[in-house]
Amino acid sequence: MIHHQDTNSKLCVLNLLYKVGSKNEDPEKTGFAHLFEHLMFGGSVHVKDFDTEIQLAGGDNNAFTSNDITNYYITVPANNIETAFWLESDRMLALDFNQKSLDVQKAVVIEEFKERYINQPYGDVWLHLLPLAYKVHPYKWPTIGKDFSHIEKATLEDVKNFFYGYYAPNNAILVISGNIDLAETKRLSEKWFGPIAPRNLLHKPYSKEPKQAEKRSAHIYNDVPLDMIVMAFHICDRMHDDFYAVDLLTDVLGSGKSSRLYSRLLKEKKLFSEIDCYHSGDAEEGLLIVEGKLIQGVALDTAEAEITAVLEELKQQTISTEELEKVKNKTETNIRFNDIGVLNKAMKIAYAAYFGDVNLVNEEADKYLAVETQDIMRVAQSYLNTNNCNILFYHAKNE
Amino acid sequence: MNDLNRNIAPETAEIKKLNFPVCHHQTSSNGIDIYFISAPVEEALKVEFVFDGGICKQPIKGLANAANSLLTEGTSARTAAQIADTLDFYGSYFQPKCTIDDSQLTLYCLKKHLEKCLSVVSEVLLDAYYPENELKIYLKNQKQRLKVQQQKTSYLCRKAFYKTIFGEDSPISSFSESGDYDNISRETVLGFYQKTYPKKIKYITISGAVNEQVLLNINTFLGDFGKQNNQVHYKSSGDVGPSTYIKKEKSVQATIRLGRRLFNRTNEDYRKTQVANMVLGGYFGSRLMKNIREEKGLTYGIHSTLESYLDDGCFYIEADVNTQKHELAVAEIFKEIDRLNNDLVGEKELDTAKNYFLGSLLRGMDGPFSLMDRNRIMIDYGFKPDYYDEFVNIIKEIKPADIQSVFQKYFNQNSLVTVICGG
Repeated sequence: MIHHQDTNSKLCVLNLLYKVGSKNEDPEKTGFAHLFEHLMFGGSVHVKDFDTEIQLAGGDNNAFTSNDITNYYITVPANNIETAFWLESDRMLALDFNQKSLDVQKAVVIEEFKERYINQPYGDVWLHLLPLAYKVHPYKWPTIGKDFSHIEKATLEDVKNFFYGYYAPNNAILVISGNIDLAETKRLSEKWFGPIAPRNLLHKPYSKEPKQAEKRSAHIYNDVPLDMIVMAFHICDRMHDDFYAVDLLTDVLGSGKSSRLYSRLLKEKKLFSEIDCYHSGDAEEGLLIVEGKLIQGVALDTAEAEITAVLEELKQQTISTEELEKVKNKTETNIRFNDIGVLNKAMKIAYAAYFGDVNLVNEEADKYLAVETQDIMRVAQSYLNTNNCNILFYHAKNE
Repeated sequence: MNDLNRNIAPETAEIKKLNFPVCHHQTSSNGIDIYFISAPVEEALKVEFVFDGGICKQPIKGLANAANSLLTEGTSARTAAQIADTLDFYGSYFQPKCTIDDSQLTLYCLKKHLEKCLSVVSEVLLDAYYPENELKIYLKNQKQRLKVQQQKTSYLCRKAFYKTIFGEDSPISSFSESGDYDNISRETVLGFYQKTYPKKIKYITISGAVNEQVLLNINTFLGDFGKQNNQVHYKSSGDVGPSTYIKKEKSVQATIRLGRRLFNRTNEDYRKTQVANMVLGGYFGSRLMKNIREEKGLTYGIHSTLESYLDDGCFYIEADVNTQKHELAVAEIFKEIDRLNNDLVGEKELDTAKNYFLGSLLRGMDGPFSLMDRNRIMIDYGFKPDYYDEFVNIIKEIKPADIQSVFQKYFNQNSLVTVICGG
């Protein structure tokens, strides 16, 4: 349990992170961690209607699932925080496992799948990109799941096994942030979570992704209006020493109108109508992604060659100290703006604790400042290589 | 710990008062209103510059957005690239935005870089050049973006819905078609810019790490500007079209928008209607969410919304639903509306919605930026400082019969139009 007091706020947040994500799923039952997140709102052993109780207390709540974690959060007026303890501890104690809730949430998740991934032009990028980039590691399927059919197959038995295997006090991080003091936080944590016994956790081993040996590509012929290219490179994990330099590298490439990809390829050469660079933000070895929509008439292989040239330059020449200072300044702004609001802070603290070091939230600014121009060149050389690259080519349908 | 009874909810306290913090106000020596909220945050500053350059003021489609988006794409002294370099170097974010009623530039920066950033803002507002080349890139990219939008059922449905309820002439239904971008020339953009931006600020907001020095910098900056009053009045035929179904082949979901034109925030029934809307579809515990999502699993989300503009307003329900079951979804939506017309909402259900609403007002006060967003509503509509504190009393006093009367007065089968786009 981690406590963070903010007497300026009238609110209090209970954030509960479970160390389970889609990477812990059975390859034949993907999308399950996220489906399970939906079921957590279907009532628990002593509480029939989770949401109504929070709303009656003037609160709001939600959750998200990623490859690595499932994170639940409740925001309430500070003097009603005990309601959050009651509800969140009760659903850790035991869910009300019922078939009706499972059936409805399967249908809801399938509609979510369609809304986000199918019924949008380019919505299926991750469905294609991840299995291209990962061959063995469970990051090869997206959090929503590989396919509707996996979600349809889920049984109540699966739900119970998952719950008792991963939803346990010994697999969770509790953060209380807002207008509440430490003594009260301790008292309520002990009162509501204290009696819940640790459980035997499931530990399904999974394999590390072997180093990629050659460039991979796939061509997608969909009903999309513009050609698009997506290039993904394997990068280091979140706790690796290279992480901060890689993060700044994505900013050099893609943050703001002065970034290299935007200024050269969109503005100067007019090859793209949109271009972006970011990383997947995973805990384990993730991906750095460059994606761009092509101006009509520009060939996909020209687009690839031009992006590659921009990346190559970063491997050949160190960036100027001004350019490095620029991306550091941007990062400093981002950090300062993200540190506002009790909910943001609670989530950030929980995520740092997930990596075993709450102090990361205080140290990150210095870690970015310590990056030098040679580090940017070094990480570009380490990761931005052709044989480490996975490319999707979206071919527009010409009418 | 054996005496812990988990069957009984812990006691909760009611939200009795908000004590809503109204932002501070200053007037610059040349008459421009400055609104500010100072919060104990480190360095972060958000400055909004608001102008009379909204979509309701544009003579041709797409012009207000073009003039606004291209402000930073070159001045007579500096290129777009040089301006981008400077703004990025100081770690700032510079966000142009056009709404129906006004246009804005929002600067996100750290206090220590404010002065440098303000000198760029000043330069672009007084001396934007709109280079031909930059305009060409912008228009081409806008056309490409539009192509992507046109593939989305949500976009097609939204556009058709606004045209249906507001008519073609209203600025709210002013959606650009590809050909509209061909009517935008450097001359038309410059003309709109000259009328809107140099020396004509409606007002400024500052929130975050505001101190004396920040206010001093802003006041110095404002020396080059003057006050712009804006009055908005929309052209609108007022004709309402029929319900429609737009076919989009191979869509696995249909987007539904169902609603009507309605009053805006200044109407005396507005806040009461907001509570009624909350019960119907304003939050996760609403009738629509419970029935269409949690009971029938037809959608990932369904919401109802009241939308207010300075000279108009509307109400709508929106959802992306399973294509095969869109008729069922619409029938169930109307069933819920009928129930709220015919039967009184239960006390506990109403209390839940009211408490949630009160909590959301409190959440809206957390942090200087969301607090300023609430204050901007009061500034734009000219509300008195006690608007939100009074809101608490209105919510508390609402009875089930008041909800019913809102529905009977404004929302029934005959007053609502349905627009659907799907396969």
